[in-house]
Amino acid sequence: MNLNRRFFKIMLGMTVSFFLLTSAAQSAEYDYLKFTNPFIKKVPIAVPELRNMNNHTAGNELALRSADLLSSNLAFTGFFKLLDRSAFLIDPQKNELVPSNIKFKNWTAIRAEYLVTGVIKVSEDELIEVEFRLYDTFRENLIIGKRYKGWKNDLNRMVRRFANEIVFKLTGAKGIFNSKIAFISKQSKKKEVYICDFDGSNAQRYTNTRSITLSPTWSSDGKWIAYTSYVRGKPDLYIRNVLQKHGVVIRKKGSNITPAWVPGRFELAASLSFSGDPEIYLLTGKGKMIKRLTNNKGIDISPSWSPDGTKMAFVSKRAGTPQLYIKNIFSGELQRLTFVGKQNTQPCWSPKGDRIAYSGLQKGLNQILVISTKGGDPIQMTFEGDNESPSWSPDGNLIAFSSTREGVSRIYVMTAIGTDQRRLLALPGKQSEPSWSPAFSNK
Amino acid sequence: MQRSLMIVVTLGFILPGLLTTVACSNKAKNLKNTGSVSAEEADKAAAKLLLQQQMEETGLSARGERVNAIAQERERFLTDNIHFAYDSAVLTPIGQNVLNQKAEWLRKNPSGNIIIGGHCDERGTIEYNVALGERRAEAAKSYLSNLGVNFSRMEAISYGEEMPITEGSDEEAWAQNRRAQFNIQ
Repeated sequence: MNLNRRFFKIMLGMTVSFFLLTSAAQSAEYDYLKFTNPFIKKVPIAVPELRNMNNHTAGNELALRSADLLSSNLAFTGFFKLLDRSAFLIDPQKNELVPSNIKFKNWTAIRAEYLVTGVIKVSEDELIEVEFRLYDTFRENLIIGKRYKGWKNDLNRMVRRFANEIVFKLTGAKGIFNSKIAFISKQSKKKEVYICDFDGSNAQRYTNTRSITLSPTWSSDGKWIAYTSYVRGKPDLYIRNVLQKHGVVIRKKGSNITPAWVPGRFELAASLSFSGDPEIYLLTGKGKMIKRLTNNKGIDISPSWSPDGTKMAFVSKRAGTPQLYIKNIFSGELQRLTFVGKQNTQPCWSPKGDRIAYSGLQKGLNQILVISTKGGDPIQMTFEGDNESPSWSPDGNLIAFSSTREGVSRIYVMTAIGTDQRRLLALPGKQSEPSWSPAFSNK
Repeated sequence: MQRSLMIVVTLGFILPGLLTTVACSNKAKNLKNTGSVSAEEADKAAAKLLLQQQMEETGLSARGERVNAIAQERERFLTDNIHFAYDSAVLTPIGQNVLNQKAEWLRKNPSGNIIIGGHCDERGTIEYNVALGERRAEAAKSYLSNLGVNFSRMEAISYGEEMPITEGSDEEAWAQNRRAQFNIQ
């Protein structure tokens, strides 16, 4: 039956990528790109329009859109320079990009180090078939190819999957294109949690507290989110399963704030002030007390874990002004990290493990600073407006943060060295407190 | 009669203070964005606020309207705030005076619970201000408890920088927002 065969095709398409196309030239794992000067010296890559295979009316628009989406995804990382299509020496719609016909001279001539070709075939009923191939133009070989089948509406997802493949092949690190960013948006004096895609698209409201809500934070498996909310008139800590929304509330006396999930575990640290003074405690994901982590009169808040879960950075006022400290949870060893500035808060430990981003108050405005976990002088990343709440991308290459440089508080993104600072999105009201999720696999 | 006399006497003490406050207000504006206001300056800002409230009340009585003393005292309880120096939860002498008056009201009104809200100006980061606001609310609560107010009548809640009483990004607005504010449950 025709219907059954189509149904089967669709089910197959739903389970993502189809098969790996390899060329004879490819042998062992590809050598990773050595970024001599990442973000500054960008790697030139050419992404021409896809070839429209069967002249379906929607094909041309989708062929262009696919290439544009892939280009903007790659550009977002800060590693790549997307070459201008008007400089290309060939026409993608002619057969010059068929794998057997590719003349790499045409690409090395315009200094492209990598080339992505693709084809798209549109069938009836909104079904599409997309193929992508990544080439090394100097070595003249195919690095990776994939074919995807699915609905027209899945185009974005297919493009992101291949973008993840490109990044993984070239850098050895998981791509961030499936990741999400949670943040706070304030409208009419109410603050709610919103979630958007890594590039700011598809923003959706997540909570409906009709109250003040703060500090959304993702668990390391991306399945749970914790945040503080004044739903019941005081700051309580909510732990929610992201998709199913069930969870628990920690509503001890006083403030229950600054949740930070332990990497790889269903546990989180948080600052609770039920003893009369804010201290940091370790709790299970179900809200049960495990143990106390700080014991010092005065403010102790804002924990952030090292990627291996053995150390915790946090803010303490024990020396008179709020500064960053690092505590080894197992040995108990305590080290003060910041010595410059009168108010250093909101530490966020890089997934690369070697540095911490934080907010430092300077002349009445907060700026994003980065300091090595070994201490030393911090490097200032922002200079304009009030900049707060840094959050690293899961690969540690980008930082999301809030900035008032335009007047109203907005979510911004920059590279790990502070270049390419740009706004991520703008919703009605004021946005703040971004929290970057883990990198969700292509699975 | 006695009340008018009291007001005149109070004015006699506060007016000189007002004059020096005016002289200092320019200095306060020059401190904009330096991020540090001493306890003294916080005191002077608070004194100015108190005076404004008292002068309004004087106006009402002078017009001869029948004022409900009890309602006025309750209003004062709710609107007289305790102010703090920048990044501090230490009670100033004026703050302590205001708390003494609050304790008095609580003594005269022994039933019912109150909420002490701790607030900050916008400059610190969001979570740090929740913690700082907490310290401010707790400072007021401890002080009142030491004066004999029943601990269980009072709940201290921090609102961080989330509920300013005045918008504005200058030293005056910041001083107004750094406060402990009372509410009757």
